[in-house]
Amino acid sequence: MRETNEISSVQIRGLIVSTVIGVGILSLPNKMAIAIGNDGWIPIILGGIFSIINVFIINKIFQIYPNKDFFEIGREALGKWVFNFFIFIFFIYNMAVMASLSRNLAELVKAFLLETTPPEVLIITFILATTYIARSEIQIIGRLGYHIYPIIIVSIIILIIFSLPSIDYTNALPVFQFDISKLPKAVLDSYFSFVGFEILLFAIPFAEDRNNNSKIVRTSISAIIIVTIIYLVVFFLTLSQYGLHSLQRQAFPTISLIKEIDLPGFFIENLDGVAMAIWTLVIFATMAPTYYSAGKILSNLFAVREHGFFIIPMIPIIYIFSLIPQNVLQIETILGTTINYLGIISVVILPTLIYLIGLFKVRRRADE
Amino acid sequence: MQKIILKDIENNLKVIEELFKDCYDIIIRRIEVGDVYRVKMAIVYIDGLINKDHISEYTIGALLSEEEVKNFSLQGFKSKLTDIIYKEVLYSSELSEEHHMDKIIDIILSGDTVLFIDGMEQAIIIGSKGWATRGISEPETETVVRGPREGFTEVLKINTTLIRRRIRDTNLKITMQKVGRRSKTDVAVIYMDDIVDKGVLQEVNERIRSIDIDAIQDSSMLENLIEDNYLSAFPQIENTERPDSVAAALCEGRIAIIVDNSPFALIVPATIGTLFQSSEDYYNRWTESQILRSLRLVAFFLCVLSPALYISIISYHPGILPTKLTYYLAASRINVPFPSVVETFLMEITIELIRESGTRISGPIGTTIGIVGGLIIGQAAVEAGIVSSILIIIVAVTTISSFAIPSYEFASGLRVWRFLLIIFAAFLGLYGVMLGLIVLITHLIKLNSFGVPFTSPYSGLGISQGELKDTLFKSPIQYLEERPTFTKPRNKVRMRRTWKDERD
Amino acid sequence: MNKKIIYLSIIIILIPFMTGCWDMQEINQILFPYSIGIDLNEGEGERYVITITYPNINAIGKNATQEERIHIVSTVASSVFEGATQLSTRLQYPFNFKMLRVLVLGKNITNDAGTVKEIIDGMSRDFSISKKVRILQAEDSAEDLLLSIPNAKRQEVIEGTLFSMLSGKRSTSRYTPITLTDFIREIDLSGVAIAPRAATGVEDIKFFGGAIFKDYKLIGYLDEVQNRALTILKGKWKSDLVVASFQDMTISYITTGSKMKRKFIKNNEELKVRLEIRVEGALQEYIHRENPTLNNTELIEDMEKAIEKELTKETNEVLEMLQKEYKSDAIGIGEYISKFHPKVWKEVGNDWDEVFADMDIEVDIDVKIRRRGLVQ
Repeated sequence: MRETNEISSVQIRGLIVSTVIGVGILSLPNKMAIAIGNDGWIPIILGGIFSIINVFIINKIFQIYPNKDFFEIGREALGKWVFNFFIFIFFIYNMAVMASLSRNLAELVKAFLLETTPPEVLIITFILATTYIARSEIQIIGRLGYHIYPIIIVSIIILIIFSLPSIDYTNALPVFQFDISKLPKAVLDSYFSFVGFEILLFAIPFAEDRNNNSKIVRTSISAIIIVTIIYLVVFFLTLSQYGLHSLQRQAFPTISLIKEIDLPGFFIENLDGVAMAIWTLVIFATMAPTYYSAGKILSNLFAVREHGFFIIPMIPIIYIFSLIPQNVLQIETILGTTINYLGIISVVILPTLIYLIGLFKVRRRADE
Repeated sequence: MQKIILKDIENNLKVIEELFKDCYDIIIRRIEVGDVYRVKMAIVYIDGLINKDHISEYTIGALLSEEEVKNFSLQGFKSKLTDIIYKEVLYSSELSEEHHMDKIIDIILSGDTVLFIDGMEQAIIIGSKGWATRGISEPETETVVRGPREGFTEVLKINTTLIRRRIRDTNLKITMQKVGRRSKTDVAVIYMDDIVDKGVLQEVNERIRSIDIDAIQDSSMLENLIEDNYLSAFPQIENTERPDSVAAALCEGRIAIIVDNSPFALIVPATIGTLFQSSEDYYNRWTESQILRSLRLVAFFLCVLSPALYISIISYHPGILPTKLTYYLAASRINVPFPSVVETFLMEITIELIRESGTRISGPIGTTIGIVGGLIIGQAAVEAGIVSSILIIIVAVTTISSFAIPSYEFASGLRVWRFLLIIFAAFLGLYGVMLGLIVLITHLIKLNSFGVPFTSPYSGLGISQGELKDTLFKSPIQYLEERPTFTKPRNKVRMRRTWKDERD
Repeated sequence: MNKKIIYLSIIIILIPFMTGCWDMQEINQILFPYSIGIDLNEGEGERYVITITYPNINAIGKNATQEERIHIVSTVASSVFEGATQLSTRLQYPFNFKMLRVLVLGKNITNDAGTVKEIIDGMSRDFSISKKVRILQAEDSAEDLLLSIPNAKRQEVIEGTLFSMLSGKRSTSRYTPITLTDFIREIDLSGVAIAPRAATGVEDIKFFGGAIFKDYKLIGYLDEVQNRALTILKGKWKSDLVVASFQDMTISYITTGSKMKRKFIKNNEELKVRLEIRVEGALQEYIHRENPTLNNTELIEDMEKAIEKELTKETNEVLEMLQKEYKSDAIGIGEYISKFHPKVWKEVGNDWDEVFADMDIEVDIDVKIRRRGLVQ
């Protein structure tokens, strides 16, 4: 029986939510508090809106060029060499994302769970565990997304329920007191917490409803809205718990918030270790699609049909990339900045360019 | 070897005798019929496979006493002898003619009787299967408090009958295949013609057809031969001893495979959702079934995770627990000489030993083993201070929860993964458990059962069509108006109305 | 075949990576301190005296072999964590601070702003320490306080006497437990945080009142009644007993809850805050010679007035003290203004302490007796 390599709409939604939510959810409230203060929710919403526009453009591409996959479209629109250059950057971007994910995971696991284990071990074991799924097709990646999605939602709901008794919502006040000149940078910061939806480039051609484009647009946008809501909830919870000044000092406010949970009568204390364990799964759900896309790009660059062939050779590269930063600060400064620049090229510029060229060609064809 | 039957009966019998040389159980009974014109006939069957009374009374008896045959030569050659025998002499209800030798051999081997008649190019096949069987009894593996108590037996025909009695519909199709070069085991593929997804049906038939093996002894062998991933620890095909489960599955658009000599029917496709269903869920009130369903999910996690979590908490992250519990755990382990990994392995292996010896020996001795193993060893181990009492609780809970999962094979698969997770936990604590879980999740979502994702409905298939109503939840039967979607049924409506709809 | 080789090599690579078991440490080979005391070393040597108490695991559970419930060790060290490391060389097992519940600050340490800040900062930075650690100010030295725990007759609690006294819902406002997070947050918000005081009695340990920290420096004390008044002013008063005099006798009144509304009034450059506090409760003790039954609304109203008077007196005293003596806004007025009147806050926020000291704060307490007990 031929395996139907299809991904359903609900799976796309789960895939986007679980891919987008990753490291960002831990540090975003702190970043927003530093960048803009109490009104951090404004850049989060704006970042969400920009991501929705981006997702919309990606969807449009596949509407202009129906029944083609991302690589065929790119070749047709940009020409072979330009497109190859772009997807090479895309590939490097994916590698950097994976390196940063595994390094961040290792650092946090080291801090909260395994204090003396060398981070190298944590990194390599995590990458190895991910290779197993990265070798499979988008259908499996979609299933994975759908499995992690309820875990994320349920964890957030539990977080809300548990932290409600101890929060003071007045800490979120006053609103609208921000400095407008700081807004662009804050929006950019929050926007980078939304990247991950580029997996759509690989998922849409295999969507069950690929002929019903508006449905995919709806699901993918709803996924971004869900992510925005989750970010807002986490931001408000941490802000209400800590107040602005303390929040600005918390490196990982979400985990600190979990550490605050203390319901002795209910046998619940010290949830940070459990939270780290669940977060490992969430990071895995971000890592797997990225790994998959990197493999797909490589297989396309070398014109090999099976992307699984490239997955294992990538292990040492990711490993070395992830060891470049010398300390925790450099993860943000070196890897983070690289990811941001490359991300803009591959997530924003590349699809927009393809879209504009496609639009232009369609117009011209209509004129003729 | 000759391919077809020759007119000369002696030739035919010689072939048979040669093939069945040194077969002690073959019986060839030669008779001569007719007063004037004596016709040689021979009845061939395998001793023990047939109903002897039937053959002696209604075949041999009939042939020897029937006037028409006796006077055959007197009346002249008005009609062919076979026709007369076929139409007027034999009392059997199942009769047919055959002239291929190899088919005749198969027929003999499968328990029917063959009547050779001299001068005829056909042999008459008399349906006479009848051998000593176990009666229909209550299934031992899937007992219910409420619900039918019939179970399948080893005889295919009885099994198909049990299903036919439950679905009196011409759309219930039972197609037969033979598997095994030597065993020539009958395999019945059963499905509802107007519901089943033809793609899956074709796939099932093809997979069964392409098997070339000498013999299969049980449906479990066929299961291993046709499943998608035979290396996996998890079964991708469901099995059951209960005809009502099979009938219910058929009505959902799934396909049942019954293998002769096996009381276990196979049902495809199987998913995690269906493996967690038990037939009793549908006979109990929905509230109770709902609680049981949820309990089974809890059991799933307890079964696969609890020893690994114990190790990671005791040896790596004692800070995860609430303060009081930490102190008590520390106190309970104060004199244990082993690290938690060794301790856990000791107890897990002990419990596996108890389980193994308990299943091999049934009856009162088995119970004794359970008591000796469970109570005395556990108690003694704690008293001796080799293991902590908490661990005994953990191991016991783990074992009990593995029995709470309806599918025994699935639970055994989890058992294997439990040991893997213990190893992961021993090396990297909770992080290791998570890595192990990642690999387990990956493995599970990569599995397919005849094109259906094994993890459905939890992997997103049919959620919007209400697939969760009968998997994660157990809704009252009134809400299950449509068939589950994972089987891609061609006819979706299960229930049209109830008395309340009628009144409205 | 190729696949098998790949998998095999992965497994072989994995083995040396995974068999390290770096962090393996059995639960019974770790000491879990539940309180830590810090004093300034007044003698020779390093800066601090660190005192750590941890439960004696041998005395817990069914088959306890030892009697003594807690162990107390102390050392001289240059920082908290250095002290812990030093101690673990003297003890059989290392410490794990996950279960730390109480931090006791010695008296001599609290006079120095830098030192307290250093300790608090170090603790909040550490990954393993729970941020729910309760902070306590010892009347004398922290070491003496912790050493007196075994003499106290309340040892049956496994989590430590100090912690169980500081947690849970106690119907008293004589002292207010504060956690590490709250301590930091309150100092961030208003510059002032109040930690309960603890003193060693003859046979027990007593908590009372509060020590006022302004910018991590101890500036003064509150006694029990003052602490209650402060709780009222903060709007966090829940369940307590108030004794007031009424017509030559005392009545006692149990509160079941209170609500506070802050109102900000600005007229003519003058800031004014009005605190409207509504208290609900029931009458506990009441003996009236002339009118033994309590069935008269006016009488109840009179009693309410008496209690109001008592409470107003208490709160005004504390308010006066905070404004004039300490110039510290421990009642969250600044926080309120900054949240709800950010424009005003922009003007006055920079020298808030001065503004607070001169501010007009009006307290309006409204007491309601809802129930009068079973007897009329």
